[in-house]
Amino acid sequence: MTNTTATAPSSRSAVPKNRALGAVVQNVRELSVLPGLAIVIVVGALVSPAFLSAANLTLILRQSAELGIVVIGLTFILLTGKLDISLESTVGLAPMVAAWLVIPAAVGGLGTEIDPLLAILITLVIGAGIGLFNGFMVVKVKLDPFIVTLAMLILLRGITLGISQGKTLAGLPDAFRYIGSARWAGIPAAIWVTAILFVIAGLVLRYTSWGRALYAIGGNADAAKAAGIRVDFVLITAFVAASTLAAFAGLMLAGRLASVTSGMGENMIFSALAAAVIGGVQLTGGQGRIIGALMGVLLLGTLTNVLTLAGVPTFWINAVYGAVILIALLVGRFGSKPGLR
Amino acid sequence: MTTTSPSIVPAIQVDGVSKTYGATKALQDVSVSILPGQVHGLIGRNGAGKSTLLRMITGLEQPDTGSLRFFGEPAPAASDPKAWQHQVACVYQRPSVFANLTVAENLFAGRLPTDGVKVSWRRMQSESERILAAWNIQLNPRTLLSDAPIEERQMLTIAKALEAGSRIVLLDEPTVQLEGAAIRRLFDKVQELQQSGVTFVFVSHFLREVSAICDSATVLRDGKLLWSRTGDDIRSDDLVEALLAGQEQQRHRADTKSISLAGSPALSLKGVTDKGGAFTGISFDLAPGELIAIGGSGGSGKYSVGEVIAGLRKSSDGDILVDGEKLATGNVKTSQRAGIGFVPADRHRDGYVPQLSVAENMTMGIMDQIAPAGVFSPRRRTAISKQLISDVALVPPNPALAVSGLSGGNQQKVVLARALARKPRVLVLISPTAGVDIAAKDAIYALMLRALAEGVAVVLISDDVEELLVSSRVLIMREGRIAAELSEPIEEDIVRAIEGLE
Repeated sequence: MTNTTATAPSSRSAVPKNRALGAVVQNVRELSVLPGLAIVIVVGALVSPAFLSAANLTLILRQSAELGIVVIGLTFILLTGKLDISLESTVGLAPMVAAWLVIPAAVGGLGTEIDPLLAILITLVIGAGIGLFNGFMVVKVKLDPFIVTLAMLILLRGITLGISQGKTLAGLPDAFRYIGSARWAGIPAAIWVTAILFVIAGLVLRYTSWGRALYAIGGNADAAKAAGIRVDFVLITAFVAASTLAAFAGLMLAGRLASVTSGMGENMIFSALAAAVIGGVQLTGGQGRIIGALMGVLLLGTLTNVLTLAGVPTFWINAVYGAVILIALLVGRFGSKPGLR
Repeated sequence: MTTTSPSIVPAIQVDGVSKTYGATKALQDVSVSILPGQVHGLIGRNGAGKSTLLRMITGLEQPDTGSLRFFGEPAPAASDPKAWQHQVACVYQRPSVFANLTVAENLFAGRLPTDGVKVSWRRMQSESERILAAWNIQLNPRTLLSDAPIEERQMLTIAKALEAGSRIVLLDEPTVQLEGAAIRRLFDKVQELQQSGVTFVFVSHFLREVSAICDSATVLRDGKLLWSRTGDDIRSDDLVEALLAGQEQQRHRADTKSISLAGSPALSLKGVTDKGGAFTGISFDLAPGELIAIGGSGGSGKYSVGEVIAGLRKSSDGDILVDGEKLATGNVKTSQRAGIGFVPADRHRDGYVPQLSVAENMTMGIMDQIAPAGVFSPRRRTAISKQLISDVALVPPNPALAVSGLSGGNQQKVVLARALARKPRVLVLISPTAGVDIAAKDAIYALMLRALAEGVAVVLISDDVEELLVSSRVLIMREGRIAAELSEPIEEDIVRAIEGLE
């Protein structure tokens, strides 16, 4: 006792320095995306004068909105150290079922022609239900999250295809399309909504016990349990939140496309994982912030846009896209090195 | 500083080694020589430089100045890890082995015997049997290592190193995870190997172990060599003195005799049986401000008793009463709300979340109080954690620091602060001072005594006989039942009761 207090003054003087250094290191990890983003923007500006136009920048944000919302949900799950790759199939299935129930039989619907607002509710409920099932399988049945959600990915994608018979469901009612197509103050509503969701997610992760529990569980689940955190509940609700967000992203996507296609959301999970990891969210759990995930989304969105503007041959776009993700990961890894001790 | 007879070439000769990390002088001009066939104790408080010296000797790091010699030869080049492994092997608390593979595969990991193209399981089997027999290890080569006890895994690591030709083995706090009987088996083995000329360097917090097994010892303090001695000079008292250096050694026996049990007990167990079968029919009453210690060997179920009270395990029979109220088992939150504070056995596994801050770790169990609606104010959390930090005298007193950056003793203080955060009526402490230095140990006991004085009832569960001696009332468990209740015991009483010698 006497000894510990005796040594305290010397360490106390070192505290402000540590804190300052810690803050810098923590910021660096998220900011490490910025140089990459800057390069992509510079290249974009050089490639096409249209790149920096307001219309194009709005387009980038609008096209990134759905990915952004999926990334928010995925980040919740990744923070706990788990994984859900079936999110992209939820993006496709939830609005597909709702559209099937809402449009007339003549254009491929079931013929129930339910109220569009009810259809929106159904979309979200289906999302929540899928999340509940995934969470239950991972937490209670204790199956590996990768394998469970891989099976779910295939299953849900298959159901989507079965319901739609491979067709595109068009003729969606206006109310159903509203969130994906409306403009507020001249800017697509989807961008506003996504921005608000990012802010809410940031606040939830920082200022709620649920958000902090995600970090605690990802950092050390046993310790979280011993500390009285309801680990199972938090994990299952994280899965539910993520799938509900994915369903909502699907709704927005359907509104943007004015139809529901059977391949909606396909390959989205890879971009979502890339965005989260580029933004500093660790797959091992416990580390990462929503601002980083947002940076990752913006980088990928801008990149896709620049590749298109640059006229990269369609067949080569994926290769370039992949290469840039790889480089961004390397830059991020380099930038976050001090934080890894 | 060291006295070596010139005729014998030391197995390890550390000559004026210094190492600096940034502003920290981890080692300053340290010289040690260790003769072949010795068991050499390396002691010092946390941060004294033991680990740095070990890392030098294993070749993981190079000294800034000074040199190392093995058996008179200069140490291998830093770029040649194979050559280092040939000289020196290191056994850690948790031996680094492949628990998912068999004993034989572990022995031959990296150099599996082949018949030209395919792995020869038969040769591996027969070779393994030969090696295990040669070093007298009772393990079946076909068993999975995850099924072998920890001391056998450590022995396997040693056998593997010796088989590969090294004659120097570093034991880095090998006994922390072991029970009494296993420690004795390990020590017997070490002494047996010592007879055949193997040199050991033994790092430990337990001074009794050092004086029991070592025939020479080095004490480091603040990166400097305090002394290095051989033979009869190393007695427990000297070691304690060397570590304390001027500090008064505190004796912590809690004076709780005066408390009468007439009032209603703070904690009462009535024939409690573990659902998982770890213990059966445990009963005792504990008054407010009273301390009870529970000891016992590995399979005695003593930890499980604490875990049931804390809500980590379920009971299948019997009642637990906290302040007269019946406690539903199996839910940590329920136990916390009933007034139970808990320090788990393995702080690395169950105690804290390393990358999160001190403030966050300390308040993890009271989030329902800080944030009744789920949203909390970080400022309020920081204020609460600052109070806790000063209560437990955390060093450095910085609520924003990640717990991974603290010393072992201070990490344990964070865990203790978490247990105290809700102002518990009952504290359950499992091995609260395992693997912490003497200063931190003193601090932790002082906190425990303060809690007792404030009327908190404390259940202290431990492997360490010295720790059990803190209490004047000691329960000893064997095979899931209370085997003895001792009052004012001395060390021998406890050891006899644990081992079942009446």
